[in-house]
Amino acid sequence: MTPLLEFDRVSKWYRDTVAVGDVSFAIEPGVTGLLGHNGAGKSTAIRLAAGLARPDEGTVRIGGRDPRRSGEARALLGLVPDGDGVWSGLTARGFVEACARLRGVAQPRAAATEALATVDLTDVAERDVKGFSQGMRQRVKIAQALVHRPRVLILDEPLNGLDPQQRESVIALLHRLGAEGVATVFSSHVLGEVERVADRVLVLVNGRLVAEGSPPALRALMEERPRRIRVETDRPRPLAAALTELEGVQRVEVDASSLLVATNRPDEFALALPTLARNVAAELRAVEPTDEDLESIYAYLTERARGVRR
Amino acid sequence: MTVTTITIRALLLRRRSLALLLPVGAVPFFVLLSVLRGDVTPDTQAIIVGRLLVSTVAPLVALVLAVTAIGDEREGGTIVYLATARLSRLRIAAEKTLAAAVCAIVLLSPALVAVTYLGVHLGVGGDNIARALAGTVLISTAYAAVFIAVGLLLRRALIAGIVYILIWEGSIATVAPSAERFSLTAWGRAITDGGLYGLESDLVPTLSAPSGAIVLVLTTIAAVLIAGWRLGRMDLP
Repeated sequence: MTPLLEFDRVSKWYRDTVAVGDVSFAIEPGVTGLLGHNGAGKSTAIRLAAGLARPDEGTVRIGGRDPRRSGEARALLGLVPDGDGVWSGLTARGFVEACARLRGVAQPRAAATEALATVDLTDVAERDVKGFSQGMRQRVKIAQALVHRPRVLILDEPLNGLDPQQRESVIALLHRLGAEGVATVFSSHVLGEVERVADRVLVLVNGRLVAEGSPPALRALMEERPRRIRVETDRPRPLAAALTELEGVQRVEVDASSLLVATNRPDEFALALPTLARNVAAELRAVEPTDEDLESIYAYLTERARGVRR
Repeated sequence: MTVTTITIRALLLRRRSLALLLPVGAVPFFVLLSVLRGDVTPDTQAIIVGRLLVSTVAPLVALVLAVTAIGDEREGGTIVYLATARLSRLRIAAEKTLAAAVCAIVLLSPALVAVTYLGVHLGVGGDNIARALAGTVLISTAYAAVFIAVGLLLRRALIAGIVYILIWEGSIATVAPSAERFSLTAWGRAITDGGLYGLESDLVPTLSAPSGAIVLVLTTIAAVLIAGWRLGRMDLP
């Protein structure tokens, strides 16, 4: 069976910079999260998927066709872009209806009404979009993407700039669309968001697909990585000697007033550290993880993918 | 025709577009001035229609509208809604050209009214008035198409267009008779001014009006094809 959206060894570069490198995946109905830090290649991947950018190598297919060349492929696609631009002088209904006409919908006005109802904008349908809040604009953009009932829905950072209530509303909508069989792909740099919404996650690092799978599998993968913890103390060397005996500690680096400890059992380390410090009469001045940010998680996945993990 | 409708609405709501009424106003101003001074001759018509309207005002108006028609979509990001629709890129280019041309003609309408009044006042006949109007419409459409294509090919299309209008069309092509075959406005003036009799100066190109019309139509088609091709090749934001 032909996948709804397929990347086959796709690369895209801008001069010397690889935006997307040798990426392959296939998307089926359900919600897929495209996770990556800023500059990881998410937006480029989305532009390639939507036919807005041309791959330098490889092929992108929607329903088995090239979205740059095939109107049938584009008819299967709904895109919610990152930008907030809308045409001047249009109400929410006018904007969504214009998009329906562009996509050849038989009854554009009725389709616009239905799409606006789907995103709870019926009450403000006759208001000019220019005066909308960011959350309302986001929902208008989603409405225009749904107006022709696409089978593939791609959303570029759809939760950016939304307040908590608006986020819940969009997340619920994505769940619903996924459950209805729409192949929904959304990008985010927030792991927690992706975990909440997606059935499947693709992780991009520096333009490369370094991991893919279900959110629990990805979380397990991330939890097995060694954590690096900085400990500031007045007696680094005796404390370092004591820590090397602790189970799970893989490496301890020492300098004049601190230690950098790598452990794959951070919880046990946290429980044992005060006792060990007391035993060697060391004063603990600061204890802080150094690699809890997403960058380091992605870096770990990258190293793992390349097989260069220490 | 949704692209055309959306573009016309966007263009006519822009302040930059409305500011074009200033150069357009130069045409009725000089018509009125000539009539009040009582020195209207066929040369007056050739200067106002051929040199002012067709050679300067219409290209300038078409340039600004064409560059805005495509530039605003790219800068504002709304071009993604067009590019992800079922429409071919060629159709988008054609509708953008049509919209820019329609807006140009709407904004040029005070000048067209003034030119019609001048023709009636001068008694040049309905044919010559029709030629002036048709020539202006054709040259505006051709320039809209050319500048849409230029807008897709060059980053600084507005500057390139102004340089082209002032340096090439405004000076070199007008003082060097051998260059008139490579001047769009010369073909346009062949239509607007070719039927005028009694001209004292050598203001009318040696080109024929029918060939002028053919060249302008072919230029429009070629420019739309180039714009469609370019739109299909380029990466969009």
